[in-house]
Amino acid sequence: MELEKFELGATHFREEDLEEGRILSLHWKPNLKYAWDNGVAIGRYLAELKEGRIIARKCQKCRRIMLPPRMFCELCWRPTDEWVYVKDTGTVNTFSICYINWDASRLPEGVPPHIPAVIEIDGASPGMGILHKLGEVKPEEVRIGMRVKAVWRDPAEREGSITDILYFKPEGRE
Amino acid sequence: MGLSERIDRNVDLTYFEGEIPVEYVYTYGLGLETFFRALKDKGAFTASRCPECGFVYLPCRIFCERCFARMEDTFELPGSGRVYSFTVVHRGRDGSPKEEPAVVALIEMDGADTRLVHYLVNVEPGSVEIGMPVKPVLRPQGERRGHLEDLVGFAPA
Repeated sequence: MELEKFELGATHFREEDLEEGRILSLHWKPNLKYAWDNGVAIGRYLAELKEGRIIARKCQKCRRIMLPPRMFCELCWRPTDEWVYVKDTGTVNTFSICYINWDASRLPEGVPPHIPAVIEIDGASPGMGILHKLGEVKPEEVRIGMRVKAVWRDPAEREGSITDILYFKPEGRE
Repeated sequence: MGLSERIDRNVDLTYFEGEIPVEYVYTYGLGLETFFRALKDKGAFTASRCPECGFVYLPCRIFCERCFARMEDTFELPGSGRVYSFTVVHRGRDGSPKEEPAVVALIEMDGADTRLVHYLVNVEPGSVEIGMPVKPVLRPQGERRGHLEDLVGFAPA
């Protein structure tokens, strides 16, 4: 194919030009596998999730109970002091109703939307919470301030991951 | 104190694994399209000469990197060349030992002012010398895809 040459600007082509070999190209898929060290705080946090418990970390200076736990207080600029178990109930701080998947592909027609939410966990300091999903609730019923409780994966299937909690559901609902 | 809390047993270390799914299609652009098209279809090496400074580029491109002059015309080089420098590689890209050592060389092609990095093939690593004349070894025409790997490497001439 004779390519048009422009003094300025781009050379135009279509996907078919690539597919039919009118324009040469390189197709490459780099191997971008990684392993990320959980560290002391998140390592313990995930190990406790496997046991069906949520653990936080307390700073004795500012008295905050931090979730997810960290070994260093970013406000006091000092190491945190003790492990504190918190509850698996909490309050919806904010949420979104999401009709796409994480890779931005659209959910099929009729599939209920994801409801990601920030949940302030009971026992942790105000504003301390985790991002998770809401379930067993209609999107239009979700409210900021709504009380929720964790729904855990079957103990035999837990693997020390945030997904050991399947989702949070409205409190008091069977 | 928190920071005195350490993981002392390596079996207690935990990690999570992931993969970043990235894929790309790279198009060569005007200059390299001409080069790889000629390599694929004719097994030819296309160069361009700067009209301002006379510098000869291989592969051909559309602008001179030294004086920014537009280079419209391309011409074919004979393909012969010499070893400018070389190294013997015993390990693969992932660090694992290679079954056979590979010789990677900077090739100065006759008529070009730039150099190509490529493999030396059909040669004992111990017998390679700087200045050694070499010729290109191409894949057969039907197997060429318009890629630098269409060139298997350079062999002693």
